[in-house]
Amino acid sequence: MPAPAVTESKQLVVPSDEELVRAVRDGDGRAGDLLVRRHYQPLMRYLRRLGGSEHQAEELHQQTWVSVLDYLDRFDPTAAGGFKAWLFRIATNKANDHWRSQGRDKAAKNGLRLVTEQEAPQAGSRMEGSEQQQKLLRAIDALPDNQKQVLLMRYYSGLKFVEIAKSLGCPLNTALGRMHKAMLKLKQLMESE
Amino acid sequence: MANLMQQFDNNENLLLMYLADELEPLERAHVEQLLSTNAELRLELERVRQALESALSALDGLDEADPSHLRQEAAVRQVGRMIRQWQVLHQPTEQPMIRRKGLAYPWWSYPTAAAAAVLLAFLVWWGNQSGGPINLPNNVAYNQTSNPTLVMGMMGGSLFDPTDHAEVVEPLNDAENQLAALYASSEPGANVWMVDSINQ
Repeated sequence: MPAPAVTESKQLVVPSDEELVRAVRDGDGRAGDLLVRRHYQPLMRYLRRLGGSEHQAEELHQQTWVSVLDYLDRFDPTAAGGFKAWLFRIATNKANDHWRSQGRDKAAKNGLRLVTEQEAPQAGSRMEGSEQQQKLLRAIDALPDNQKQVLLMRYYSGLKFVEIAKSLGCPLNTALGRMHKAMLKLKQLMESE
Repeated sequence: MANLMQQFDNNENLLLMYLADELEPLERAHVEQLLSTNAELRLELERVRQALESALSALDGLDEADPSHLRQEAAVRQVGRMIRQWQVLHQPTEQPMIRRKGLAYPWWSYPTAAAAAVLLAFLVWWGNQSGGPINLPNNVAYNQTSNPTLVMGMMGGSLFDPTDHAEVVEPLNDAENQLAALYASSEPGANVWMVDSINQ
């Protein structure tokens, strides 16, 4: 009877964000790449849905990482939500600063986007094609910024409501109220169009 | 439950936390107990669940067609380059000044040096006082012939009484007087003859 093959099972250890941040501080370049890659998709989508075009989202993504590096020494790994909450908070602030500095109000922003999409839908920032998706995008854009931020941060970051509230600097009940209103409004807007 | 309702402003917030599974086990048990007895709350829970699922599934569909992954590698490279530049600028620099903990010299050398400095200062001060040890009398007839009697007299006599030095100079004897007179009257080059005549 042949002896059973001995299989050596090695457990793959995935470093946490906080460990990667420590490695970046210590000068490990690969840790930085891994950290950026890990958060690229959710962060880019979050920034894009917040109201920016693809180009603006890329610019904000870069600015977010510039700020991350600027304040990396002050990052507290024990804070609620860890690095992800911190990253999304910086991204939200960057997006808010961007729109504030652009001096556009909500109506002007929406108006410009609608005109652009009607004139050149293929070349516009929205690549999603179906009518349902366009409707959803318009519904998201129509949400107040604070409601949109809670909804999108919850969806893309997967952070807990407590962490989102801390990240946005508001009480838990306020964050929950915004989320509830955003869901109802989104449902209503989707059904009305 | 009363505590829970105080914690959350309304039922929707509480139910949202329940659906998100972010309540403490005890709080969760309370909500489930309430749901089992309250039909209206169950309906409300269903409304919140539908709204949540509707929003999340809509966002799911939106991301399926999202092309951002196409630019992921380029963006990661770009930000990665930025991070490496930051790392170069934030390299920990070597300590320019490393202070030694120990003394540069043995511990006893410091008080010794201080005592030597005080002693030297005292000697200089003392030397500068009138009547000090190296203040020689002005009226000593210093004989350039290096008369050993005079030198010995200076060394053996009192250092502070100039008259002591005058006494020790002995008068010249006859031979020396004769030699001095010859030397004074002689011409240059006659020294050899004079020495010979004395010796004879």
